[in-house]
Amino acid sequence: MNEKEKLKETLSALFDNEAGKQDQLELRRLVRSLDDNPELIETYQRYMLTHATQKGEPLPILSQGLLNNVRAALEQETMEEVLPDISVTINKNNTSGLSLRWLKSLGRVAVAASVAVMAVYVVEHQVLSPSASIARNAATQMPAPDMVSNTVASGTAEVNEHNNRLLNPDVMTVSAGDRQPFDRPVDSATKSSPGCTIGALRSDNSERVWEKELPAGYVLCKQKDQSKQCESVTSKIGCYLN
Amino acid sequence: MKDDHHEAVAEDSLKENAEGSVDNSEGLPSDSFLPEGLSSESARADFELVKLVQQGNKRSFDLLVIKYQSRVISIVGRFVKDPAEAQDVAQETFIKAYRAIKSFRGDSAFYTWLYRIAVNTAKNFLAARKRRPGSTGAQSVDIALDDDEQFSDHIEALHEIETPESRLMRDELKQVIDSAIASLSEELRTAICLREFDGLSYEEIAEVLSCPIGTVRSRIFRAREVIDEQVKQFLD
Repeated sequence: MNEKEKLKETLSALFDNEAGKQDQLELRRLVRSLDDNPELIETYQRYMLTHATQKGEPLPILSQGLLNNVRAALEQETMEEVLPDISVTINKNNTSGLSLRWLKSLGRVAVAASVAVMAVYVVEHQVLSPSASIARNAATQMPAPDMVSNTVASGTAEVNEHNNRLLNPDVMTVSAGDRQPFDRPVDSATKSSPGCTIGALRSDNSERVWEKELPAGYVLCKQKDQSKQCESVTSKIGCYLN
Repeated sequence: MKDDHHEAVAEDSLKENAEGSVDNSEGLPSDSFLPEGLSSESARADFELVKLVQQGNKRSFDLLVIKYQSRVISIVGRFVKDPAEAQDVAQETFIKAYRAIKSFRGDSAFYTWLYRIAVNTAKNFLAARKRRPGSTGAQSVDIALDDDEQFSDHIEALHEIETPESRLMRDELKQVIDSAIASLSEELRTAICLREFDGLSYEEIAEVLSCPIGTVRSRIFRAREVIDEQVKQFLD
């Protein structure tokens, strides 16, 4: 029996919940081989399909789309850990199956690209004078540690303004030239801050719904919610006054 | 019994909504909950994979995703009717599970733990959507958050109604499998049937056939190879 057949036998045993009972290391060998033998996943899926068919159970999903999306999201997180000061947004569907090393390189390019795209967006959606300022009463100010931003106005990725103050748009006065982060969940932000309406930012970081306009001088910035390790289904975003 | 990791994940997934809380208690399974078709042996095997993930082997998690994606999508689909949204929530479920997996100690079945995450993620998704400005009545088709009866029906999600197409495919596939099994030698056919139809463990099959466990394992694998080749051709 060659190495591949051994792996497939382990896969068969795993399917029967029998792997690793006699050889503790065989499961580890199998899992390690998955990168080099992606067809093993397909084989496992066919085992599931065969079993379900024989037992009259609901047929399993054969697509690996969800798996690829989960992989991509987790690899992106790893990349963000490697590049902690830069918030990178990459469409999940374009990253599945890519190696981490490749992603790291892509990430640096993607920062510049995403900044450029956002700059175009803001320019297109300017509805007020660039010099407009918003008067609000100052009240709540909180530190926003490790806040990450991609600032558009300069067309370059601007990173990590530590000690940025959290802006409550209802109560804080902001002058042109200030750069204050606005940090609210997407839904409440839309409700409570008429000067900064924004769309939903999906948790997979594919910015599929940018549906609202910004007043002139504002840019959108994704903020990584460090306190919750980006657990939210809806992410938070920032609104900066240039 | 509620262990720490359950609570941690449940609380975490509830906390993620900055506003509005969702009750975590309703409709969630007990720690001993295992759906039909999942045995304690399955839970043990899952935990072996989880331990590898905890040691940093991400690919191990792939197998868990593949094993449970259909079930998770079915569960989520009871809350979120839109297939694309259900897919997103299912994806989020696995991502959360991966992030929290280091806290999983195996006190309960992995699937029970995953189920909780799926339900909470779906509930939070609905709660967030209801708060979304301009949201319409589209969510009225979803399960009400406070409807205990509907939550208790989760297990039915595992038994989706088949479409005529899937029924036809199942029938054709079953013929292919039956034909492949019929072509097996007697010793291979006996081994695979004792496993697949009677659900015997390798040890039990070894006793029945009076042969070593390694032989049982090998026979079942060789039988699967023959069947799988036919299934693969059918799918291609």
